[in-house]
Amino acid sequence: MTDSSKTSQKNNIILIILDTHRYDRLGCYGYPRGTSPNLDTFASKATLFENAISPAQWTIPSHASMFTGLPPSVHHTTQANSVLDDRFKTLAEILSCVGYNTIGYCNNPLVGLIHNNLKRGFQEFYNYSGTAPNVPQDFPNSSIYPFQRVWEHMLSLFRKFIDPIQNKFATDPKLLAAATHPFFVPLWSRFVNFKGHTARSIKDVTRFVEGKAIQTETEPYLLFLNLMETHLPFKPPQEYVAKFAPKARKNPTARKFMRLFNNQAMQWLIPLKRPFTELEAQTISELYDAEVAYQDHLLGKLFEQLDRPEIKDNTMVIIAADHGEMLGEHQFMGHGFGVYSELVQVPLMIRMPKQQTGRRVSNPVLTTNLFHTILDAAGIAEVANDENIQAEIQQNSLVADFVNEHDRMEPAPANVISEAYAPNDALLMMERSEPELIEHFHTRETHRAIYSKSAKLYDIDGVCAQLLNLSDQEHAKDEKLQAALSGQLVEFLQACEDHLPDDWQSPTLDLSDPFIEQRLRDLGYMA
Amino acid sequence: MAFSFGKRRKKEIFVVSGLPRSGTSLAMKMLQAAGFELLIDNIRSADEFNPKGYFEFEPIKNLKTGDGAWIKKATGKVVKVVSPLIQYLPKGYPYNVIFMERDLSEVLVSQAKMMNGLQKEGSAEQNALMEKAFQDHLTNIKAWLANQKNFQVLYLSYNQLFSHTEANLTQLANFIKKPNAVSKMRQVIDPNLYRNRKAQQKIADNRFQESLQS
Repeated sequence: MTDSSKTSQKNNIILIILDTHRYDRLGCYGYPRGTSPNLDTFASKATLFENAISPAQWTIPSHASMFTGLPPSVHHTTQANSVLDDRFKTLAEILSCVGYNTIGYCNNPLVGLIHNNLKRGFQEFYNYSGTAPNVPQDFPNSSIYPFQRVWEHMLSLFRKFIDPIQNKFATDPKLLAAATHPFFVPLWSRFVNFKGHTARSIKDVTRFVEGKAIQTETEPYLLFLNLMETHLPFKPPQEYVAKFAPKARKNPTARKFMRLFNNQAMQWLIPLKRPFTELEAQTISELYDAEVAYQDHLLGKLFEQLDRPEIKDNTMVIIAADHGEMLGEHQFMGHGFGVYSELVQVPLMIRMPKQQTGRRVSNPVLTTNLFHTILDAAGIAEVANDENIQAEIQQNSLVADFVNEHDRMEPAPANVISEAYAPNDALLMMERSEPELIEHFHTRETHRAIYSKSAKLYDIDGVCAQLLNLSDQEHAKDEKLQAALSGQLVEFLQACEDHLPDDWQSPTLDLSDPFIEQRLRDLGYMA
Repeated sequence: MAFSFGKRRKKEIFVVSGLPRSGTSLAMKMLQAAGFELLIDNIRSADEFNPKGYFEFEPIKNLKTGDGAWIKKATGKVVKVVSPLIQYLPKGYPYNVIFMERDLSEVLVSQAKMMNGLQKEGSAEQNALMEKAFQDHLTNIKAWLANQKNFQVLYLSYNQLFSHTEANLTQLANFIKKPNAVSKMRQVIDPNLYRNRKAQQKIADNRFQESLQS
């Protein structure tokens, strides 16, 4: 695994994560509103996975899975204050060991800012979110170079002071609850770069890719880019609002609703007390479209570069989302709870080096397998001495043997499992302000769903292995199917258990069991 | 050498643990009598279920969600952490744990009475589930504690504190390195507060016999 001499011919790998991006808002997935001309063009020359499922419903567990190839029930990085265990090796760690230059450009503070080990293995990591973003510096004017150096030095000192505070706000439920007060939301969503800086990060990546293309002798790179434009609050540029959300611009009721909603961060996290009205639902949905379209526009410049033959011929480009977004469906907003398809079915397209024609894969796949796919593309299976590692990579890669044998693109049909561990900070906020919603929406439980090729959703209570079919009442009555799926879930959980390190500290009392937790709360021994 | 020893001692944290209603409050009171400073905030005040008080520190109840910032205040003091939360204690500190054990049926009866008093009584089925969960938990937490290098544990039987007071207090006094504190700790053991006992035992007789033996 440490033979760097073999990397001289390796392909570059670019992983673009469209944070909080629904698959069904893209033209290449059938959406008719013209929100994604650039992504559609990219998809037309790539492999598009029609049923790509995220292993988790929100950023932290989903990224941890993509970076480690493990489900949330193994890596257990499921909360804002979780830290990825050192024993689980990340993509960036492995690739940097075999001579890859690993570099991250990240707009999501939950990946780029807080100390949860998701940055582990990246030799360079740029974070565009927070009070003092750490972004690539360019010094076009040499006369002011010394001043910029001083400024950068002062910024780095400031970061040492402010980063622990920001980390605390992101990981402490009480501070987070305070920060979601409508008075503070406009402050941090604007001045603390909550959504990072999409345009700047894409520009920096474009420049990096351009620069690497003209270097003759250079090490291969793994580039990770996370984009947050489609995350709440929705404040797209006016020209996109005018085109995709005219009501949000012209209708005073819609305007007022969106202004209030954008400032009520707690509402982004918890279920809705009542369903949206038609106007509210339309406003939210159309503004989301406007954000999709704006981000797609920004990506256009990067795609132009990626289409240059000297880049295209030796670069694998993956575009995926970490999760989708509920826009009022089933009375949910945001991405805190549940395993509905709006939330865990995500866009996924992979363009291999020199790939000219597009293809579509209909079998369900997990984005967790991007880990194996990238290792496969980097030739790790070849340099690994361990046969088990070779087999694991090749069995799980979505594009096995990608250079010579494109026919192997279609993964074998299999059911895949997505898991939703409830974010504790959102639960705590609900307990304080809307406790009745917890019971009504079953938000305390860990939900799991099995997706099959027919894309039916089964929401399974892991404790009782009871099947609650949310989309197909006929299947819900099919006892054989229920038994089969329950069996798969049991197998999955057992496999997770087996995968844990021997000295893993499993909780000795299952505090995620709602009854046990409730008993301790009732007795006053747990907050 | 003496300096580093003193520094390490200063960081030690004494933790009273056990299932809810297993006698943790009594243990806290005994350690207070032995001269330890308790990390408590008295937010939950004494009531009919714990007439002498709960000896709790509220932030500890958020341990599961990672709120461990309070730990720096606990160095050199005693804190109460119920056993389901003990795994979530911040890493990197040396903990001396006094783990209270009590007959599980008594624990459940005591919990049920408290729940009843709070108008939150669970069904028989739920109570059976809890019994199984607590049994498994006690097995697992003991295995877990045995594997923690930074945890020293003394298991103290609540039931035997009343039936074999001297022997158990001597054991505790040695563990907390205060061998002269036995008599002070004995003074806070009030047999009247040993309610919900599995079988009515003649504790007074036992204590009398024990004193004769000693």
